[in-house]
Amino acid sequence: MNTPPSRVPTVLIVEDNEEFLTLLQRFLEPRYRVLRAGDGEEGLRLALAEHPQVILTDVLMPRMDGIELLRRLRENPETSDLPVVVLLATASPEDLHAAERLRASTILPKETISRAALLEILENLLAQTAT
Amino acid sequence: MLSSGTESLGNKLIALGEISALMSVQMPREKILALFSSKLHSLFGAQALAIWTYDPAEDMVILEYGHDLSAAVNSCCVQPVPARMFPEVKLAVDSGNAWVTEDLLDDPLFSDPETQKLLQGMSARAVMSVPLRALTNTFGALSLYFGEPRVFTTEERALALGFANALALSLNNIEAYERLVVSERVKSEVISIVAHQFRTPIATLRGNVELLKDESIGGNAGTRAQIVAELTKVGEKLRGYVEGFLNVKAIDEHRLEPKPEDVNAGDLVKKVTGDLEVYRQQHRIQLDLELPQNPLVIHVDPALVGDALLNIIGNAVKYTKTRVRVALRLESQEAVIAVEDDGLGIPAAEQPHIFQKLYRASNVARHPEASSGLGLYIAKQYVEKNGGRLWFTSTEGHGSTFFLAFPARPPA
Repeated sequence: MNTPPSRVPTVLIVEDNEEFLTLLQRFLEPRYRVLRAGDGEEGLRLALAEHPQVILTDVLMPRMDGIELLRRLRENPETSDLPVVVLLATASPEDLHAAERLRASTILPKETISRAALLEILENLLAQTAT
Repeated sequence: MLSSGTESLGNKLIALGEISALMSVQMPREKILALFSSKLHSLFGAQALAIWTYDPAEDMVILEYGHDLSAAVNSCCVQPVPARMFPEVKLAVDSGNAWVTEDLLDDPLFSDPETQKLLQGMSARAVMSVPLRALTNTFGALSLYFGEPRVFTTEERALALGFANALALSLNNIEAYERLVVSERVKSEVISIVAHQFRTPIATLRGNVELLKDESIGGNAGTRAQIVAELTKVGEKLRGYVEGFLNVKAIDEHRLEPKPEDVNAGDLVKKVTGDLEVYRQQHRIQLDLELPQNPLVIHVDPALVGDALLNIIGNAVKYTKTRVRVALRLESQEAVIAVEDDGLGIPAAEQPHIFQKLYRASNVARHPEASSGLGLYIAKQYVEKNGGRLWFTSTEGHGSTFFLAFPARPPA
């Protein structure tokens, strides 16, 4: 079993829009330790190296998109059950279905995200994994 | 002996009424042409029938549809051919009325050997040609060819004109309908692009405002200043998007007025690549610059041409795999800026469209830095408004090179 370096749970945010990534980081700190990745490739590398408890990922990103990241995570026994929250900026039904098929824990339209709601979602996801 | 048509006038009128009632804008163009042609062909007992469009600027005709024409006519005339080869088209267009030749062998207007050969090929001895006119626009003619010399009654001429008018109107309506369908599609495309481009920045603005309202976060002066800086940055991005749309509006409304001045093209290229430096670093690619030693002066509006360059080089940085090369050279009295990338390239079938407004190549439609399909359109307009040219070469999978050329000023 992998354990985080401190008692504060680690959240990996994978998002290529810097300002949005910073906002999410502000929402979550200091309650969570935040790792930042600008694309799916970097996200996958950090997910495997740092063992976060939860991942938040955007979909449309350079090099590797969020759907492909989710697929790789699900294929890897180490991360196949890791909670992943998918953030959607498009209304693309294909992305929505792909995320559902790949067992995204939650799918959030970006414009609906608020600090309180996000914290609650993460708390619930972590509580589920703890049991 | 000159013969006349086979069907009674009453039957012809009924047929015209029937055919007009069948017309619908949703009927495919080909089907309408086929329907009209076969009906007319049999009603008038014609040997063959042709529907022509006429291009007055080039003085050329194109065969849009043919019924029982000779193989020679069918194969030659789907491409534009000189109007003199088929005088009956232009004669009808120019007269605005039914135009007839009762015996082609006696008519000096048809004495051209090439014309004679084509007419003999379809065994034509008489012709009636009527203009295709929708509203004020006469765009072609409908020609009926007959195997025997023939007289044409006034009623027949009027009736053929009636058929031609109904056909022209149908074709015009189909075209208008298709334009409407396309413009509706474009509109919904714009809305989805706008929705996608604006969603993340708007979510960022909302979230940051939420943080500012929260005393435990926004109460801290340092954090507050950082959040305000973020808000400004996002606001600027949104302004950029909106400006893009407004620029297109300005171009469309012919409100774009360049303010040209003497500019060193090398300085302009350096300024633009400097502005793109952070963007380049984010994309982790190499950018090589090749500039001439001596100044190369062009007379352009630096703001507009700078924007066009920013778009072209920015695209190269966005889509390239490893590197972008920007070279400025003097070629035949022109300052030519070449922007080369080793990226996705543009699919060959899509290359003719990429300067169209709102066009996005299929292989970048899912690119994260959503393209609005406006950048290249704006760039081309800006370059051309400044007396320049913009073009490209591209191979899918291997990359593209865009060229911007402006007349170079001789050294002072």
